Amino acid sequence: MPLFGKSQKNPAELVKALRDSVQALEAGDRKAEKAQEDVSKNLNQMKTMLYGSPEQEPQTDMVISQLAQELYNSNLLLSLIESLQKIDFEGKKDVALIFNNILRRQIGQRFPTVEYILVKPQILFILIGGYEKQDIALNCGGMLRECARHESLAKVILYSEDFYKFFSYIESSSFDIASDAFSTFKELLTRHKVLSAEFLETSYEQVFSHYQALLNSDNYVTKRQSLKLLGELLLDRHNFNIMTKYISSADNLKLMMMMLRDRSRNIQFEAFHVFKVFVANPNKPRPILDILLRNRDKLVDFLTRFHTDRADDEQFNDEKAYLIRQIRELKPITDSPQSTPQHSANPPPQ
Amino acid sequence: MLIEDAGIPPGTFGNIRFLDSGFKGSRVYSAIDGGRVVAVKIIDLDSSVDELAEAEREVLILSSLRHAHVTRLMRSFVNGHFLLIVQNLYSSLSLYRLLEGGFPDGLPELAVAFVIGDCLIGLTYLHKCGLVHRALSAAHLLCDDKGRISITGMRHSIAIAQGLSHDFPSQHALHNLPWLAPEILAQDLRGYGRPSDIYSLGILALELANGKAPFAGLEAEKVLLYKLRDIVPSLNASKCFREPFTDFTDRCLQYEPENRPTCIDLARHVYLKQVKKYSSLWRFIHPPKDIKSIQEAKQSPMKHTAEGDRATLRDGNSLSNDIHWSWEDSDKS
Repeated sequence: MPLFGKSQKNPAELVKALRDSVQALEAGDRKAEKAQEDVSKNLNQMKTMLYGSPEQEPQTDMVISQLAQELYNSNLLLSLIESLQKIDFEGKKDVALIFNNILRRQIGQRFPTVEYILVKPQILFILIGGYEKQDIALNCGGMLRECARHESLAKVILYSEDFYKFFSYIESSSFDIASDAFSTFKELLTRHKVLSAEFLETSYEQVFSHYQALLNSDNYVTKRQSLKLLGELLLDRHNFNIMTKYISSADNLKLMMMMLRDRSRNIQFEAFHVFKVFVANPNKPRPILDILLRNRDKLVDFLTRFHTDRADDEQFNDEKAYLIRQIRELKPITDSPQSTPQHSANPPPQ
Repeated sequence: MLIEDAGIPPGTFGNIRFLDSGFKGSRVYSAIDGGRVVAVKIIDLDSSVDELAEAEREVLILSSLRHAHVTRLMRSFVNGHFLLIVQNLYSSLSLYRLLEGGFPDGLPELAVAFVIGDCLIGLTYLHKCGLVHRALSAAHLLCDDKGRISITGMRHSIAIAQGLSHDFPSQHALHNLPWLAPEILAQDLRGYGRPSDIYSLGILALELANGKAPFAGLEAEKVLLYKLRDIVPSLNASKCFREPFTDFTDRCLQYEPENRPTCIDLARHVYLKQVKKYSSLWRFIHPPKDIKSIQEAKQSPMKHTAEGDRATLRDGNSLSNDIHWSWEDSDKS
């Protein structure tokens, strides 16, 4: 304890003081101004306890573990998030910093705060709903992403109805909210490979019918980001089954061929990385093959002229050359009496 | 329509006037948005692969900040492949333009003290928020019509955990070279932190006082070499600076980061104390008669930007317009 300066509250006192001031703020009576001040002050002290300050080291593990225990027992994390909109600008940031620090706390293999949130999952859903409120959207987003780093919490979100709210948040007209929501969405779908592959497989229809709307969005950023993420998802080996399903749909191929000729060069380029998966598939279903064959000359011609200024990008040029070769050599399926379900992209010359 | 071409949705803003062109072809306009005078920055997100991620960084950092001496985000939205960032500045003029337009040999010493004082208040806030700005320079300070200074250029900044970063700002290093601290350029294990901004503040003070940043115009390799050897070229021999000023910059430009003062230390420096009671830059210099006149003297790039846009669109379309995919057999032509 410092010799001079304000006397420090111990964790129990601090949690109680903060809880009381948040309650006063919620009550919103004429003492609200004083309550706001108290909330800020207490939040600041709690932040300093966890992170330290230029003049002060962070508190010892024992003090912090006491603080965490008090936070769980009092449900203060939940009430802070519930009252977030009423807390002032810097206070909102402090809440997120405190929440994220406590969430990262680890005892051996255990994450006690994760266990706490699993018992109080409404914390997750209040945070998701935060994207609907301009003044707390990014604070909530930051806390949500910290949650999404933990597989058990990501699972709760993915398998909840609320996950589908992200599809509208991503199209938010506010660029900052849309960007933040997209990065949380991406974290949920890419951080825990096995979990998300399982989720995408079991919820394929529901997820991809929503995803289609993102790809068709009028918003340039939504379209470009979702297209890029689609490419990453399909090319991840954990998602093999999802890729196989995706590239057997003629509608999906048509969409990618349309995007290849989008006005934006960056969208054209991202579409190329999805389109190539359709062409490289050794077992193309009939409708896919039909479309490629019907457009064979146009595609060869188009790809030959496609982004020729990327001369330095060796991988891209190799892939392009490969696609052109594959498309040139496409052979129609002969309607022989025998069943020919499997078709090789490179049939031996007849 | 010229304005529409430039990425401004028609009917959204009133009184649109070109102010300045920024980093990587971005453009800044002043406009009326919902009754308020604002600055609108327009970024072409399709101009390069990285621009979208860069712009996201900038907007997310901006929206986490609220301070009188830091530009404030009012809203941001997308129009076609342009991002519009609406900020709270009115009649804003960068100090770089101010020097260029009226003070090629630098501002008077007390005016410099005033600008640095305001900048330091903003910087103290950024440091408190855990950010290192990494690009303090006259171009990233804006002055409004009331003569108050705010910090901009937040896309260059980085959040530092544990007080240190090892991230090298490769995107901007060449552009910001004169202002970058030696420890950022050294790219070694020691990393860098808040003191690197104090170094930049020292260079900024010299830039404001001389009209040009030290090292400006030198080859990049030479600047690098000088910086790593702890050489700061003295400049403008015709100008004589008083001791408080030289003491202030000397302290900021200490080679070892740990020998530099913090923002809080600097705020108490005698050089800044002289101007503490003033609240407007216009107490020290005459405001440009009409901030407008400086800007209009520069050739407005609006016209050829719009032409540039059309050219890129044409390029994009030349690939796509003449091709129509065939979905059904009947489409075959």
